[in-house]
Amino acid sequence: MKLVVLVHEDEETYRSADAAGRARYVRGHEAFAREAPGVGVTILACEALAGVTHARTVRHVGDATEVTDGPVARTTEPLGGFYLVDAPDVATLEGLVRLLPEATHEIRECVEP
Amino acid sequence: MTSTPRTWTLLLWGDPDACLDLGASYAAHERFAADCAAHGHEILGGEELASPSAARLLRVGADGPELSDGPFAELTEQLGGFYLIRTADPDGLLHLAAGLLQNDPGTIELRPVGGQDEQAAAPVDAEPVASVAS
Repeated sequence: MKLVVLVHEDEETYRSADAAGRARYVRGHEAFAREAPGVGVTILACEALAGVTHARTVRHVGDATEVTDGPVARTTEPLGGFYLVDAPDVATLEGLVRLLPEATHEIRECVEP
Repeated sequence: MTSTPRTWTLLLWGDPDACLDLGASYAAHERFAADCAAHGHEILGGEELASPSAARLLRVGADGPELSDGPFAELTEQLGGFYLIRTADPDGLLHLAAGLLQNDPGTIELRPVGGQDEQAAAPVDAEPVASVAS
């Protein structure tokens, strides 16, 4: 089944990390990718997003649309990136996500056409 | 304004139950895909996400991972889908994307890919998916 892992993370955590902290962060993502095939998970796509200061947002205001700078959600843990995977089931992916670095990881199903 | 082509994520946020006319919304996505092709915005992939009510959350912290049911409560609007699009004209792309809001009262966010420290957060070089949310 096709699932996404939405990585919600505090941008400051990585930005302020020392070399060891950054290495730990990268190792977490590397472990996820390395262990995935062994449990039947295929990574179809993954992207890290640029920081929220690079975001622009378009929304309806009355009958007009308005474009503003900044992200939709102003939270302490904005969307920082995602994995799109094909996994045997949600539980298998949950086990794999435990390898990822410190963040709140949201697992969602995709709508199959 | 155009610049060097790069990959952007178009994030579609909203209330998952608020869409007034699903058929019209899907038609708007088909029109958007055709408009993108006509204006040189290359859609690399995209997905529609299922309802966030079934989401699972795994908070990985200093004390280890903690699993709970979702959705991610910090958000007032939930992610409903996304596109990955390569373009040199993000302003033009945002203009086209505004059309997606006509039948779906959500909010659209355009953000380039590329981590805070370039490749640090993207160690895997996976092929983008070919399918497009429609």
